[in-house]
Amino acid sequence: MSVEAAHAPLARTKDDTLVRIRDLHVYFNVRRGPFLKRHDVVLKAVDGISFDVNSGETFSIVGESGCGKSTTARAILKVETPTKGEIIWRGLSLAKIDPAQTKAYRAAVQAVFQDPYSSMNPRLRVLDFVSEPMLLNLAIGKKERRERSERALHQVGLRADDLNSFPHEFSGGQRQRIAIARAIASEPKLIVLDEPVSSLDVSIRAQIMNLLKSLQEDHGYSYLFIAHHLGTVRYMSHMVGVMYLGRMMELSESEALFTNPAHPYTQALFSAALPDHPDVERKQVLLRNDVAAPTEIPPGCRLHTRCPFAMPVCANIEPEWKEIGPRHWTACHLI
Amino acid sequence: MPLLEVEDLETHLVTRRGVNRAVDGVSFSLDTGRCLGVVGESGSGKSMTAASILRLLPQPYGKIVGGSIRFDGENLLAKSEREMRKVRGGKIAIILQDPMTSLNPVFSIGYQIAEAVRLHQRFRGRHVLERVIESLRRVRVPAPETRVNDYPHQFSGGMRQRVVGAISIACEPKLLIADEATTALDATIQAQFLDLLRGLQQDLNLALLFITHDFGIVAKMCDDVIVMYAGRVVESCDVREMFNHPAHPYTLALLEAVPKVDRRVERLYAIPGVAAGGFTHQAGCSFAQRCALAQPRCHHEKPPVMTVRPGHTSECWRAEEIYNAQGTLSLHTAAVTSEGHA
Repeated sequence: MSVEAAHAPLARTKDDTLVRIRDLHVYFNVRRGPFLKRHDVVLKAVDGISFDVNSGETFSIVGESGCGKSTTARAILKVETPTKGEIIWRGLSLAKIDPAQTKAYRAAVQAVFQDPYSSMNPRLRVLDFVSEPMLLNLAIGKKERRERSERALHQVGLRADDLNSFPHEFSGGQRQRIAIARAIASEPKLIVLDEPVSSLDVSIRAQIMNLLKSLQEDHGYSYLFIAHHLGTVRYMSHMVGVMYLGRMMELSESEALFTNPAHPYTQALFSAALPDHPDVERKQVLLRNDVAAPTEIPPGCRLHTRCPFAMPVCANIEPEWKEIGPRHWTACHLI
Repeated sequence: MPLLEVEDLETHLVTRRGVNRAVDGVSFSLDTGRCLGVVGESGSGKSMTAASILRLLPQPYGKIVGGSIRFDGENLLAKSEREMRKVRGGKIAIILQDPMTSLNPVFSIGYQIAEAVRLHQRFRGRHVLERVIESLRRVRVPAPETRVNDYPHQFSGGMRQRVVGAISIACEPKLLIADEATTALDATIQAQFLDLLRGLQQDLNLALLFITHDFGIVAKMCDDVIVMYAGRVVESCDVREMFNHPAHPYTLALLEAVPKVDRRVERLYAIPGVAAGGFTHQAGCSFAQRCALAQPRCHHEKPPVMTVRPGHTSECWRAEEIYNAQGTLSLHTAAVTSEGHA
């Protein structure tokens, strides 16, 4: 079965699609083995995924560490080059755009990362940090950069005087606000949020999540949201994709996924989530063994070595990607 | 008599910026076979409380300046350093957040577990190895006979934390302290490790002190819970009480600030401002500035410890009112009205 057939038309073709990911593969060559026996192996970080991010919506990717969610984000940020497949930005393939378009693309796609301590240069003032992405646009002069930075800082709940301060003068939550200010200062369309709240305290997390939601409501930003805490994902998302070993296992509207997970992996992930209340009893779907190495992905369905419902067919044939409800897809032989 | 009884513990960190009252009058007790959760944000003093119990405060800043810690009938604060070394890793064991920093990369895991056994138990020779393998089997590390000779880097993250668990239970402790022990693990691995700890606790009749910022862990693991803020215990009760009838605005706010997995939440409550540290000395309640339910007197009079029900205390002037409202009180609306007044 060809990969293309497995990824037949994903979403209804809609005009409000901002980014289309089609059959994205990102492979790395890594060296393994002891001295003198060293050899190259292929690490398949992302192994053929397709999805759309719509304007004004949050698309979340969940999965355990090593499933390829951050690599996907890095490919969209144009930090990694896809081995195969396409990222289509408003009708243009990223692999084919010219340097001028690339500049515009980099201004339109911004990112906020997990650790607000390591993502800021300690020797840059807040102004330099926040206005840096605007340097890409030569039409914006120095004065306007400052004005826009002030506006961005105001939008995230900080004061204009804070522009002259250094990062060490701020707490973790405030730093994350500054990182968001930098992301929105260049008026982007898409913001990649890679675990933006997981290093923050509980009370600050809610502040930042509410801020991100309000900004989206007011300015129509699209978010590509990466997180491992499922409650956070449910709160933030419109669409959710579940990844395992470089591949999408299930993709659905957020509420449909949380109320009715179809794929055994999604069910296992949800059943492992910590309860919201001591009386919560979850249906337990337990996976066997550990995650396989991304250098040795099992044949057939890549979950079959761990899946409690695995059948003989799962070890040989990769399940097809099929639509099982409105905007709800999965790949499993059981369904 | 409870196994561990902490009374009015005060721990100060003397720094150049002044004195940080990291633990400011903390009391609680823990019985054998029970699990007590200590919840709070960073800087609330929860880890310093654990470090005080083991007398492992950062030196030369940390100092226990008041209160008492009684463990298994003995006063830990009266013990000499030499005697404390017998307690640490012997009767009281601790599991820390990051297994890679707890383990030494240049020694095999068998050696590292055996080190604890040799220090605290009378076993010698092959009995030590038997004990090591037994501990690994208890934490369900597959094929323990061969894996004793492996090094930490040969284990996955979840397995490494199990090895740390094996070290901690190798000497049959009575009390196990877990300080954010599963924060660094993936969700499915975390669930497995928590189930394992629950099982060990029952098999070995351990007392478990679980330090965490995650209410999910509290809901899954704990029998009782204390909520800490700015070095003080603001609420203390049975775990179901806390989830069903919180009696302190901080607990209420934290519960409303966490997004839920099992149901949709329209808008989370965000506690304004940042957590108060131990440097600030306020006349009134330390949470008053961030509290949606604060009244004028909260700002200048320290609230007493109110008992809203036997076994349920809250350090708040409005504790009874909040307790009796039983969840009908919404901080969102309270926040709006108090802004209106200001």
